Amino acid sequence: MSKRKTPKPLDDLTARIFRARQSGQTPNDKADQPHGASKSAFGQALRIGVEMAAALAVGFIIGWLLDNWLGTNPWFKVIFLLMGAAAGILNVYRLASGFGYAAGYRQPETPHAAETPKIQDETQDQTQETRKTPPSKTTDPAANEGKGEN
Amino acid sequence: MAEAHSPLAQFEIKPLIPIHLGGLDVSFTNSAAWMSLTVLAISLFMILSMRGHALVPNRLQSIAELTYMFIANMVRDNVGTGGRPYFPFIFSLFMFVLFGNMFGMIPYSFTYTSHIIVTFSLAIFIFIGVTLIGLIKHKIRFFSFFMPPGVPMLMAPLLVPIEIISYLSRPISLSVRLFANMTAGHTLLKVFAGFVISLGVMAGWLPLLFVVALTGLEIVIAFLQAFVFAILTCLYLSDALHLH
Repeated sequence: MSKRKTPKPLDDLTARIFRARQSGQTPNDKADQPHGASKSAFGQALRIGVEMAAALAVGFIIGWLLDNWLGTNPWFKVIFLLMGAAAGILNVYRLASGFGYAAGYRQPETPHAAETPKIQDETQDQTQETRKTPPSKTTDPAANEGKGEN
Repeated sequence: MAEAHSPLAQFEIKPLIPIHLGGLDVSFTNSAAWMSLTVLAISLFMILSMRGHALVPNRLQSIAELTYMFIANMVRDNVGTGGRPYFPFIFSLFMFVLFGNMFGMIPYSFTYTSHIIVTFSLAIFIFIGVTLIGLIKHKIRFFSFFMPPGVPMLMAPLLVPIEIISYLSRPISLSVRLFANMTAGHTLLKVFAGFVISLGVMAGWLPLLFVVALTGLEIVIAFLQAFVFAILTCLYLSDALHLH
């Protein structure tokens, strides 16, 4: 955004345009990292609460609809409320372990992190650095694993 | 008269122009009026600020360019280059929520983002749109989204419903977050403002100080929630486009 403020001689214009183009085509690497807004503890807490409650509500609604439809009161409600709780915890876990905002499924990190949650936290900084030298998505978690266990 | 002092009176929907179409109440309400005003304000802001389209921008044009860059960077960082076709939508969404929140900070105005039905309509539209984009891009492979790789098939009956619930909870958490933040903030402001009157000249200045601080906080939250709404849309879109 501050590019405009620094008027440089025009001789390196081509290089600058090239660099700007390069930065304009960063691949979708950063999506896994938590972004600005909810970094504050209060924002994080509010988000976790909402995430948990939303999954529970969805579970209950599905159970309620199934019960109404099949007349099996209250069994589907019980089952889906438990599943909603599981989904809520899954959402919160994904949020808290820094896989980004999005609830829902995230590839290789998720199964790996489920095994070694402690290590993931320690390598968080390293991951951010390695992201800059763009690694292919598939080799990235393998590299993390190696670092974490050493 | 008692209702006028209720902290929740500010969220009341009042029909300005009553319209009834075949038993349906489609009156033009204060909520609709503020939404129209917001759209008008955004359009005027963008059109007037860019009218000069000078190479060296003046102040207004700078603001417009900054907001554009802000959202463009957000889309690029979170969705990647594949997200470019969706930039206009995310930009409009961000501006609509931001201006709605900010207009809500004007005394005696109406905050339409403090109504769950408004935020939920936005969220469900995003949710359906993103799901459709994912289905069109990946066809049947989209459903692999709900089955993590490397999981034994035995676990599938348990894991797939949990993943689906987690996916379905997205529009709810997206809408509730915005709604809850705006409603709670505005109610709190009104409650503390009420204390100023009831405590009078002697102790009234204390809640007044609090209201001043809260107003600042509310403006930050108004911006932050618009930002979060837009960035979450970006991330959901990114999930649908890349499937990870």
